[in-house]
Amino acid sequence: MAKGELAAGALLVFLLASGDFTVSSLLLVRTLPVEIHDQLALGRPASAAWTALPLLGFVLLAAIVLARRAAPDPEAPAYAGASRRGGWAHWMLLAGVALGFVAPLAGCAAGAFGGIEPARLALSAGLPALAVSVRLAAAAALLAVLLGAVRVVCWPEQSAAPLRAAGLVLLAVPGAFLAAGLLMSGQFGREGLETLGGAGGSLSRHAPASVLLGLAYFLRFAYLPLRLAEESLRGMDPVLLESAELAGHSRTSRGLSIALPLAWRHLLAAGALVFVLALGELPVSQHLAPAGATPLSVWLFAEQHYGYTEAVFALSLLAGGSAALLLGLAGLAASTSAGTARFGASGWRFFRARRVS
Amino acid sequence: MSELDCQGLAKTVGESDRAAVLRGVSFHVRAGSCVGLSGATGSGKTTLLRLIAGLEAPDRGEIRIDGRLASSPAWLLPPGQRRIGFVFQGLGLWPHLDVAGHLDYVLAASPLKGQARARHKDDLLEAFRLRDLRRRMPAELSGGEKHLLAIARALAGEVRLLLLDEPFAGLDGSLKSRVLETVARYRRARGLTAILVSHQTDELNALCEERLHLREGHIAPPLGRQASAYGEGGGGARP
Repeated sequence: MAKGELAAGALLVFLLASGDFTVSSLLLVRTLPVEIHDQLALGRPASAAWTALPLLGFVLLAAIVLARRAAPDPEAPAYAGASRRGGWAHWMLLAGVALGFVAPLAGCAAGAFGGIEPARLALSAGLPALAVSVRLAAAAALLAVLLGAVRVVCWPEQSAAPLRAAGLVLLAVPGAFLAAGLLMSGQFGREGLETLGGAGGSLSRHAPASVLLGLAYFLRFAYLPLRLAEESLRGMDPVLLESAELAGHSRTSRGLSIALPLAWRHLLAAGALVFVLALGELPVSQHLAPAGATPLSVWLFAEQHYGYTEAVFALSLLAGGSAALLLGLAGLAASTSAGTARFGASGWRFFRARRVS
Repeated sequence: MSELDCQGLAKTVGESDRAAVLRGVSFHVRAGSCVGLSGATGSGKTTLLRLIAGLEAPDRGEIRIDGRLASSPAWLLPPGQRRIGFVFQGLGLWPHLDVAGHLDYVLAASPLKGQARARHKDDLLEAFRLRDLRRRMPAELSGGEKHLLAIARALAGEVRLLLLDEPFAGLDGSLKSRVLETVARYRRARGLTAILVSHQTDELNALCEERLHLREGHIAPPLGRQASAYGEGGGGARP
């Protein structure tokens, strides 16, 4: 079973690496996603589509394989052996953070404290970019939590493999390609609304371009809430839902009252993941950034190309700190509200019991 | 109370290597009686209870509750409409609901309303000695209290038939006697029809008037104490 999980993990990493644009572009390696991005930037969508065709085929195939093979064993107890693997997991996490975050930034750190200029640049030009990205990433995270909740409530007892496969394809296709698709859909949508006239025309004129980017983040990472919702349901004893079914509760009631309260930690985790990933997303941001607003990742990417690494360092720290603070506050609010809800329910029951007696 | 009639039930389980667990099980349970069901591990006891509850459909045969067709390969009355209480082997308590919350949630789907609902809930809390524990979460209950809560929850929805799948497993000594006594008293007072799956003679003796034994997918010929019941012809269980 471990071999299967390792193979699925390796396939997922390969899938994501084959669609990566950010690292390959920065390191000036001409990969397929870079080629697709350039073709689209030059206004040649047909060439981009032909270039992307083999990759899309591969992604689709891998998504189907992953959806069929990587599903956890429903017979296996949830988190079996987790305590034994805990130590390794922590070391792997530390190594990942060191390799992906600390090491690259350490290179820029030396020059960052040499003067006030990098910090000034980061605060003057970078802060608005951070604000744009935080707003859009938060919207995408909220949509992701809602998607996960809808999936849990509507189908608490069923697998949603086709939906998961579709989410995986959206996650793995090159971002530029997804952005081009959304741009075209947005254009068709606008034209459709214009032809409707009246309220439709008004909506078409006033719908902000940032809505499309927020939606794009959500679509790109929709796999995460779907996957985590599935994990939470698979880890749930079926008897919990069957007891509710025997009592005469409908599927929606079972989803809402039994499955959702037990899955909310997974859904919040999915929201946090989507938030962090959307904050650093580049290809889609670059294509769909609304006029006059530069998302954080685009600003950082441009600064790195110009060589202003100290400013990149300063803003990256600021972004990391903001993300950690926001996620910490969200987690605190969630745990407090859960405690408050229970306390409130107990208080209400106590009050009612007093009144009855 | 309810009358149960199972005729020629057959069921195959498993996805890759399918195995016939039940191969034509027929028996009848009289209204108000309790039947003990025993058999080796894997003999299909739990599968049989799940078929009766409507959680699975039979491959062959039919189940009638009070003369009304409940299950056949072509027809499955939804579990929620059968008025069956089921105590699962693993109990399956809802970890996010407290004791009162368990009963409230079941009662929310029952036809009982207002004062009648509150009275029924109070009766259950009293009968199963859960009154002082109603704010406790399942994780805060002892083993015996968890079993009592699972049984009280199964009975909350105005059930006509109670299915008990090894509900006393893991309990020992005086604790088991206490739970057994509580269930037996409640069942007798309401004349509830019940089926108890168990390997333990003391449990079967305490709760059941009749016994059935599952062997190789069939109801085995009666032995020992069962023989008298079948011999008399008026027993609660009739294969």
